[in-house]
Amino acid sequence: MKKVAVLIMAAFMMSATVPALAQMTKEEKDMCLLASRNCAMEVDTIQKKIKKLQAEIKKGKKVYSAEELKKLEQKLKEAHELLNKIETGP
Amino acid sequence: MKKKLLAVVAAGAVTAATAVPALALENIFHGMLREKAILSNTDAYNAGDLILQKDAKTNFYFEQRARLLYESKINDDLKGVLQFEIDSRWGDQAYGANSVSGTTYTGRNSGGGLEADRVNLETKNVYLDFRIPGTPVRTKAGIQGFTDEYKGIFLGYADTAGLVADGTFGNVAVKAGWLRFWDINEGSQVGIQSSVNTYVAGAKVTVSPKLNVGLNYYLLTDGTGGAFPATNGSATLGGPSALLAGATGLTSYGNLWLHMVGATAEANVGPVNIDGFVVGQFGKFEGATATYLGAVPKNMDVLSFAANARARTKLGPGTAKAEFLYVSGDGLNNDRYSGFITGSQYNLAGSFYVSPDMLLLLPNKYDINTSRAIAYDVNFKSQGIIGGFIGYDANLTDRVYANANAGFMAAAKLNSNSARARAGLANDSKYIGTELNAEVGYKLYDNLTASLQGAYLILGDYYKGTNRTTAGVYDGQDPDDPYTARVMLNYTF
Repeated sequence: MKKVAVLIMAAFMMSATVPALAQMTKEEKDMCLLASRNCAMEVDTIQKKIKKLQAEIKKGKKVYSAEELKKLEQKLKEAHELLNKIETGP
Repeated sequence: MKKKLLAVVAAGAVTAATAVPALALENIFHGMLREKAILSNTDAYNAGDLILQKDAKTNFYFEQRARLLYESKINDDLKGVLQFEIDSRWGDQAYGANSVSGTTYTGRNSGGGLEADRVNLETKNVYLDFRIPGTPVRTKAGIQGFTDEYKGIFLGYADTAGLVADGTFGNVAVKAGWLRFWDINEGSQVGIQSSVNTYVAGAKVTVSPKLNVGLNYYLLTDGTGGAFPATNGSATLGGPSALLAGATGLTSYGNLWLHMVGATAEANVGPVNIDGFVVGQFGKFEGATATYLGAVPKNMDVLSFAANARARTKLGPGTAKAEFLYVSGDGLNNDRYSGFITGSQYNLAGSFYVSPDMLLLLPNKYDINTSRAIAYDVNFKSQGIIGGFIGYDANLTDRVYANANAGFMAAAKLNSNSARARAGLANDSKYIGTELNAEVGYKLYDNLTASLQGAYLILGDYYKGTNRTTAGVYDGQDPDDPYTARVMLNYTF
């Protein structure tokens, strides 16, 4: 029993400390884009963010609810506005 | 063994606690770095009207701009935003003084001389961006960027202090806000009416996936009492009232209340996307004086109008586009003002209309400080404009793009500010000129683009005989057609 407990704890420690770097499958939601959760340490450039948002929106209702899609579209609009704001104007 | 088991359990608990990522704050940076060389017979290294001259000399400038935007983001509902800018022209200034004349200049827009080291960091935006809890309403409070619903002809890419809220309820997006342009110091106090403000309210309805329509109301209140020169600290430009005076010919006025009512629409009709607006202004300059009004102050009504339509459609490897803009003008000869008042009457570049992608007739979206145009502001010294523009934007490969544009522009109404009138000639032609421009660009990396732009403006009879020599004398000759050629590196991240 004690040996089993030690083995279980060891397995838990190893899995908790290894960052979850598994690739998202095509059918999974990107929670970083959708809700700013589980974002990795890197921050995307604005162009990369736009491409990622476009790719997620393309997944459509197979992956996201209508409300989530609306949220992603709003974020894409904001990203374009941010790019415009940085690049344009006096 | 019991102790060993306890130790393992404790270690596991600590690991579990520390393995949960702390996501309380995201520090996000975005920005831009632009390097641009300009060869031109008309551009000067600052903003305003094109310089038109006979036998104009060829000028060469190399300028650069960096913008850095920082967001301190707690979550999707709350962040602080700061945006900074550093501009300079290669070879302009270094340290704190001009090494040739010994004159000390202000630091902004300079620092590209040998040794650089100039204090030249500008703050463009500082604002809070948050969603009101329990609602879909987002609010921006602070010095923020603002562009109107009319492609920037009233306020375009303006950095302005204010409070603006917007939210979407079903298929209706609503916006309301207050922007404070200026206040007037009166012994370190600001009277409740001693300011220039714009109040904004509007709604846009998504009628269908192919059609949306909007209705907007703006109110500009100017309680400065036409203080010439203004005493609000905008000394480098002589104060906003001086700009208004320059456009309208007013020498004084009491107050201005200006109402703006406008409608917008955007529709997809088959393969063509069409958008546009109509907007009217009405109001009153109270107690105004001007040479054309007489010596006794009188109220001058304002009634002006602007309309725009644009169509874009995919054609071959690119997009073909056509755009029309009408902005009413005034003859500056009676007590009704029909010029379209813009943010540029309250500071240079307050309005910024760049939609047609011109480089000489209108300002360009990629201008740095070398930013000059025939109609830098659509008020165009109270003459208004009638403009037709066509163009084609093509992605030739996934790395190479090219575009070409043509613009045709005339004054809507001639007045004493018109070029021929100022030269003492018969004020008889409204046609300003025809611009042809082209650009080709290459994406070196996803974030770095190199491009070559060129533009040539064939001046119309509006400028016939209006050449002014460097000594300030009108000599009856025609100024040269202006041109500009630019090479640009643009890095955005």
